[in-house]
Amino acid sequence: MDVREYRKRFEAELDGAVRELDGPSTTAQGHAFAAGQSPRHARVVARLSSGQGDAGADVGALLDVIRNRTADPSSRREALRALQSASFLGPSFAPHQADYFSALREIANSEEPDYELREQALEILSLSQDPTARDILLAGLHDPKAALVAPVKALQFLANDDHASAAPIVRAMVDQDIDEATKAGALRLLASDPVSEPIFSRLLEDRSQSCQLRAQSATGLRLLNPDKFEQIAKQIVSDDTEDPDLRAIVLSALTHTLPRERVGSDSKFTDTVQKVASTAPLQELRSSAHGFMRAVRSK
Amino acid sequence: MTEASTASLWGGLDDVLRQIDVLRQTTGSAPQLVELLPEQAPIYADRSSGEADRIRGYVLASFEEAGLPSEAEPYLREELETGVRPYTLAAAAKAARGGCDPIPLWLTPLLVDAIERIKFADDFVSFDRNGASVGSTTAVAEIVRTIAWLGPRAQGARERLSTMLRREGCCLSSAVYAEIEKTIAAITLFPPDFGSCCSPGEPVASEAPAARLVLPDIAAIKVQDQDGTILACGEFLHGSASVVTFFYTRCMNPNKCSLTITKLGRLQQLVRQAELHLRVKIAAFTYDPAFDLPRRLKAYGIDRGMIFDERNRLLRTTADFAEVRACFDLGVGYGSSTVNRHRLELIILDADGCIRSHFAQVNWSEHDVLKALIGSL
Repeated sequence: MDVREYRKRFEAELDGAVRELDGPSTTAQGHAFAAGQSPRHARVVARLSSGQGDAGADVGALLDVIRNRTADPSSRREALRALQSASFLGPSFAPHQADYFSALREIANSEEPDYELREQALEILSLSQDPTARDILLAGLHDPKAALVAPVKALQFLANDDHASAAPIVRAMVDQDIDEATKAGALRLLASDPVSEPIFSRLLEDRSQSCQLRAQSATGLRLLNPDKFEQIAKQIVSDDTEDPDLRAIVLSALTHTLPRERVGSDSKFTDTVQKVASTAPLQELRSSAHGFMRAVRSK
Repeated sequence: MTEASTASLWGGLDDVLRQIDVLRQTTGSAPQLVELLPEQAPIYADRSSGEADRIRGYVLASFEEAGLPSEAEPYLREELETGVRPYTLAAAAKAARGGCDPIPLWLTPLLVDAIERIKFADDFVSFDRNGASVGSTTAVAEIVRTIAWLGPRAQGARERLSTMLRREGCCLSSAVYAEIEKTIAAITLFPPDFGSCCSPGEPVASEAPAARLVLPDIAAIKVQDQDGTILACGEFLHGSASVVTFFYTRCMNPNKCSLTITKLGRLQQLVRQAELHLRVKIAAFTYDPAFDLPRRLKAYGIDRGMIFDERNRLLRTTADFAEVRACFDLGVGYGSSTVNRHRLELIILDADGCIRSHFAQVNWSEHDVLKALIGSL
């Protein structure tokens, strides 16, 4: 479907939905509704946005809902979505910010029965670099019995904070027998940890690793040591026995990493890429090679 | 003994807070508490920023009971001027209540500034090690409480607090509005000029220590600039007066590193307007050289208005930063991956490499730095 057509249809659906609400429709109502909230909660967000009605009572009611562990889980999740939308309203939500953080910390707790809600609370808190959330997430990585969320989620949330000092425990995880998604999450987090550079070099060169993990390692190495990345990437691209998908990925990354003046300065490598562009069996690899050659020609 | 192993002597966070509790309860312990404030103190080594903030806030809050010595005031001032974390700001506000007359002039305006800065991110704070009082007070409420404690000495805050009251329903909670109302009432009991008799002058924005020759200590250190050029520190800094400051690109506090480099860009313009650009060098060292590679430095500087040439550079040490840190006694601490906390520092060196001015723990203005720079030529 054409994107303009899609957008038009979406706007029409949204308009229709908002018109069904009591009172005049507002942009905030529309946004809240689009975010998956009920008309009632969309109205709360709209009232907060416009400064009309008793916003304090509205937020208080929503906080009561998310705190109530015996309430229907879907209502609690919906209330949390409404609060999270409202938290972007700035001045009108600011009086309730402290209560909101406090409620989130209550949910981010082992006694919280709704896993999804607990996970959402931890995600929101970790985006604010909340120390309580960080401690909970790190404790879960140290001791799986204490984990409140899956390790892959814990890694994703901890990666929001470079200053969380999570790297030492995550570095140790990389060599443990963990599933691929968790390992990929660990590598994403370590991409801002200079000490982890040797891990990325090692994994990128290790043919026993999956293409996804090696590509993830290429990304990490490119961020932490572009020179080392260039050196290993050139070896991989030049090696016909290497995984062609990985060759395509690292060649594309190399094209975008090399400073403009250095693209094409290595004539031996340029010749190799030229050959790859015409002979490689994989279309993606040929395409990456053509991209590199275009960059050489446009210098 | 390494810094990390010294830190491990302090133990985990709970052990550290317990030891601070012991100091809190010991008469005359304020000087020992002050020793725990520098960012480079072993107590902070190898900890996350969150832990470093928790310890620092706990120490600062202790001054409410232990009494606030003058040596702690620069730390308090810097926190109130640049802090963005509710916990440490509330702690600084509590520390101020341990002070005695004369109250420094900067205190009242910085307290009100701090409210403005964190009103969108207010949070509950507790300075009880076991968290017993969690939920009883927020950071903004603690700051307002300190303004109320100042009473007539907070005359300067009356108008700004009244403006906040007029915006009732927006930004602050009803509990905080009630506190502000009471505070204004307390201030209004006294005539508008009541507080002026008991205030000392503004503290000097920069200390001017006796000239200390530092260049020989760092002359041989190899540095790399934003374009990848490698040179020795001595090669760059010798022969011209220099402005040297410190930052890192991953700093999360917009009032620190990002602002420092932005002001450095403005200083460059002032230096050029004063036609001093051929007599002065301007450099900023990253605290985080392993991460801040040349391209990152360049993008960070350009985005903040810096113009690079042979006399104006952002620098990273090619090896460990420890020697530079030791030479300038920099207030910076490290976690396992990056900086966990740092203070603001700007140093003016003369052509021989002697320190002529040191702006530490203050949000320096480029005009003040230019003035000090001219004095060092």
